[in-house]
Amino acid sequence: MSDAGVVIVGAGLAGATVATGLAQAGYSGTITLIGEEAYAPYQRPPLSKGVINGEIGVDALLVKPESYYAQKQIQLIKGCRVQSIQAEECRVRLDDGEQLSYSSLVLSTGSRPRDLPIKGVGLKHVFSLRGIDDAQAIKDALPEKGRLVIIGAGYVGLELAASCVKQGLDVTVLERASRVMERSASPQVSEYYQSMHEAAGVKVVCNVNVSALQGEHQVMAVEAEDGLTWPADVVVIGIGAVANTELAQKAGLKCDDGIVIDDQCRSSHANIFAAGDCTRQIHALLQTSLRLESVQNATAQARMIVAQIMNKPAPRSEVPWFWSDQFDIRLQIAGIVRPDYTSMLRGDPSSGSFSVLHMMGDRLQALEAINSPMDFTLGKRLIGEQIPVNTDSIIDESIPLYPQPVMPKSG
Amino acid sequence: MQITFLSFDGTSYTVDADEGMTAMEAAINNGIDGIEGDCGGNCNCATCHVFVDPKWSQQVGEASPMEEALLASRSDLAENSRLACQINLVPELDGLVLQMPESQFI
Repeated sequence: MSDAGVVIVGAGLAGATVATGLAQAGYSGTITLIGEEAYAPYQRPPLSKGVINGEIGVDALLVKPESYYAQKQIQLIKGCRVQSIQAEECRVRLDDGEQLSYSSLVLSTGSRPRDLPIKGVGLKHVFSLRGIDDAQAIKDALPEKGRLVIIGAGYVGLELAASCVKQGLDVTVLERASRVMERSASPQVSEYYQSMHEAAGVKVVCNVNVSALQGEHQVMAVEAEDGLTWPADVVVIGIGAVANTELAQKAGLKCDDGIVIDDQCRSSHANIFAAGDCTRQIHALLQTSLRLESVQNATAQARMIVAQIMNKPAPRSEVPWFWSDQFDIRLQIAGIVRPDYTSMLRGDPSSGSFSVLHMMGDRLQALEAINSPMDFTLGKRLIGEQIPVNTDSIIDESIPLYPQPVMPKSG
Repeated sequence: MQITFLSFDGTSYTVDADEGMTAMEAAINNGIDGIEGDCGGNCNCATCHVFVDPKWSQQVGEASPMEEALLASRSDLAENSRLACQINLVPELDGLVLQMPESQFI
């Protein structure tokens, strides 16, 4: 039987991990990796940190050196958009009209910054931050000691704020919600981060509904619904990301804020897989439907797809985890923080190192570790194993989070 | 300078590296399979786990608390475990030999 090969649409971390994983596993068919950007696959997390600071150049971001793909017989097509998928014929059509056949298709189309539908977003010096070109443009636009207004206090916005205030810029962060990192972190952690940013000189304003960007050609100020304005030389909008599902939807694949995939990363079409930010999946351990935007999710789903295509044993499912570096504070989150969990503090925030534990009854469900790497590692294990724990001992810093003392059996 | 990476099956790859790089960068830049580096060398993911050849353990030195915590997540942790992204290639490490665990090969 002839094998038409694997076509991978989207050359971010997920797509690159599928391609390199297949090559390493000895896949014998052709591997084609198609990306819209002009760059070989690269790491995005440093864009809001080292790249903005000028500490990291583009070459240092590459997942693999560009020559690696040719060496491994991976056909890397850059600067190319896939127009459509003919799922019945197992073919994709590229924007130049070329058609490629596949035996397996992988959609790793990623996500894009959410649009802010207000007046003035088309003005010069208004940006979002997703790719190398965005980071470069922001860097080039920022005048020395200039005024940067960031709309949105999520990870991207806060990491950017931390990087820029360190460079002596005048930084303001405007957030619609009542606290920073509202979507992903607990109130305790939000409060800690807000105070850290304020101590470093970032102006953080919550409960702001931005209504317009003012300026003739170039942005001059940000205006809120209540009439308040903030002068700005550069505005960066970071209000979350939207899954790129259009291609999948057009091909008739099931989508629901993300391409819906099963636990083997298969879409509703048997030989079409999907991985990374663009997917929605019932998490095997947490048994809840999630669309995760993280490095770990991208690589874990990619490795699952490699295992499926190569007919190898499936990798074990892992508790989702995330990280954020701001100033010299490292936040590591394991599990998904939900408001219905009971939260407990382990350690003293004023020491600069503590964790917030999130419990459902006597089981740990999620954990936020601030400069507490061992709590993160051991807590992640505890979440994965769902062992009942004693809530007194779990907050006792003198006892490692894992293994926890055995609970006496109650009558 | 040169670094040697040993695959779990005994295959040996000797690569040229520049001073100031990390051992992870030396592996990635030379397309060595078996060092993943998912987080981009940020000491965040423990997918660039290596076993330091015992002859080199002294020169390579000890892991930081952050690194130690990540290594603790590895089921194949050994006494000579390090994360390659945290090994800075100083001139004294010319000739360093690192072994890569089987679990990092897909």
